[in-house]
Amino acid sequence: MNANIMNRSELIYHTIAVGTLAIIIVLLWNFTSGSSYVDGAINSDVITEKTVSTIYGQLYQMIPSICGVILLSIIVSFYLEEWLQQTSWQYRIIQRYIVVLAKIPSLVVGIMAVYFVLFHSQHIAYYSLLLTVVLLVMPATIWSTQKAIQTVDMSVREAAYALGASRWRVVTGHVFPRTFPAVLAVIGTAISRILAVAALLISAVWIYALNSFTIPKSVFVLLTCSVIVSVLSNLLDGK
Amino acid sequence: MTKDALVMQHPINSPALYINDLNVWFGKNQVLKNLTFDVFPRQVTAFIGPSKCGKTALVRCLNRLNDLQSDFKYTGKIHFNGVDLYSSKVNVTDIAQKIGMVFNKPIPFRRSIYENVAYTARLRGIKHASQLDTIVEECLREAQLWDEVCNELHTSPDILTIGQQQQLCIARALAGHPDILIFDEPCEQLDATETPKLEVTVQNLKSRYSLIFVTNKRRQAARVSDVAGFLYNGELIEFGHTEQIFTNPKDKLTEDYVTGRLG
Repeated sequence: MNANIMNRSELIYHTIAVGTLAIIIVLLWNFTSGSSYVDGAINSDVITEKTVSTIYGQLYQMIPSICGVILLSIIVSFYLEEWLQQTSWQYRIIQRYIVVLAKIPSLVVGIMAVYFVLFHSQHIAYYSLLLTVVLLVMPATIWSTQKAIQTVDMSVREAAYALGASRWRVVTGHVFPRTFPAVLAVIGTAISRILAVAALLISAVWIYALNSFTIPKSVFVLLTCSVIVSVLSNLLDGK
Repeated sequence: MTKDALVMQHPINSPALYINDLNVWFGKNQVLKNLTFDVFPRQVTAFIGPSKCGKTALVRCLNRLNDLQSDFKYTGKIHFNGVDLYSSKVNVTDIAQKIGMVFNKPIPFRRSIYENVAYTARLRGIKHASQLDTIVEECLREAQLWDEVCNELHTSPDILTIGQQQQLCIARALAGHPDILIFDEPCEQLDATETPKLEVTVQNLKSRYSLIFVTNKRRQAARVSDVAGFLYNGELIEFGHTEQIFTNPKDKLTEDYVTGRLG
């Protein structure tokens, strides 16, 4: 690795991030290997209209959770930028995950979402859908909100601190109002990403239900490669 | 100038700020080296020196704004009214209210002129409207801005000139009832017509507050201050009465700076 691109500590953080992602991918691989939907014939008894309607139901049920995830993302980004020391190892590890996950193309995450749902289609798992949304939405939302927070001039914060304002007052009274328009845009983007994946999920399950065909393992291999290349390219990007 | 001499010449002989052997680092870079001096009440203490000599780093230590920098480290003592500023028992927000600061660039908040000044009063816990009205008027008068804005209190500060915005920032800092007010190059963004007005304001405030004035304009320091310190490469080269610093400097570096041969 070129020393100019990243120093040793960054390399360690990258390695930890890539290692964890690799473990997740291996686990997914094991899940799919045991699934009847990969390299096997679709059982038409399993994916039926009932399954599709269940997905719809799950998506509706998820609306409060999605709102919660978006709200949580915004709170996390304010915590990271305004409270956590940016030189601390905790910040650097979390930041590395956020950047890497946020930059994975939403199409790739969407296809992953299809897998998540299909593995659990017999008991369409609320948590697997939620996990998809968390993986899809949280990093991108946090990252975009962080960028918005960073645009607020430090002099504004200092002016308030110098008058004796507490950190809470500075964030709620000065930083948040200045980032509010950008936060609204971030929420809009997050919702559009969720809707796109929901559409992809429903389409995919409909297609499986109407046409009994198999998902070749090569699709998962390509998908895994896509994630790895995406992660590596983001790491080489540095930030 | 010895500490005793300063005490003798001033009726209030207890220092408002006592700084002893202060060293400051940002990461591995030491920006202040072994600084020892006192700031006495009701006089203007100016710090002069070329850019990057540590003036701003010094004054930001005094109201703990440097705490915002994650790589800030210090050794030494800073006592304010007998209390260690960096003691774990000290509330940072209380310190910031007692040691106010006016920055080089005026930063009015995105609220009305009235609300800008009332903001600091509210931080002190004052909520009653009539009390706030009184404080806002008093502070704007002290900052010599009342006559210009008394009919436009509820408009945005954007209508004010840069100089007026700086006066507003002074009024806002005064609303915190500070004991010490720090001016960090307050005239840097002001034009030639606005600078004298601010200097007059500083002179008027001297009767009620201890003022610390940072500037890289030698003549301005000579005009406004009673005591001056010359900083160079993070070291306090000379500290004494302004007249002595500018007319009879003891150190060669100080002489070079005040005569314009250095910096």
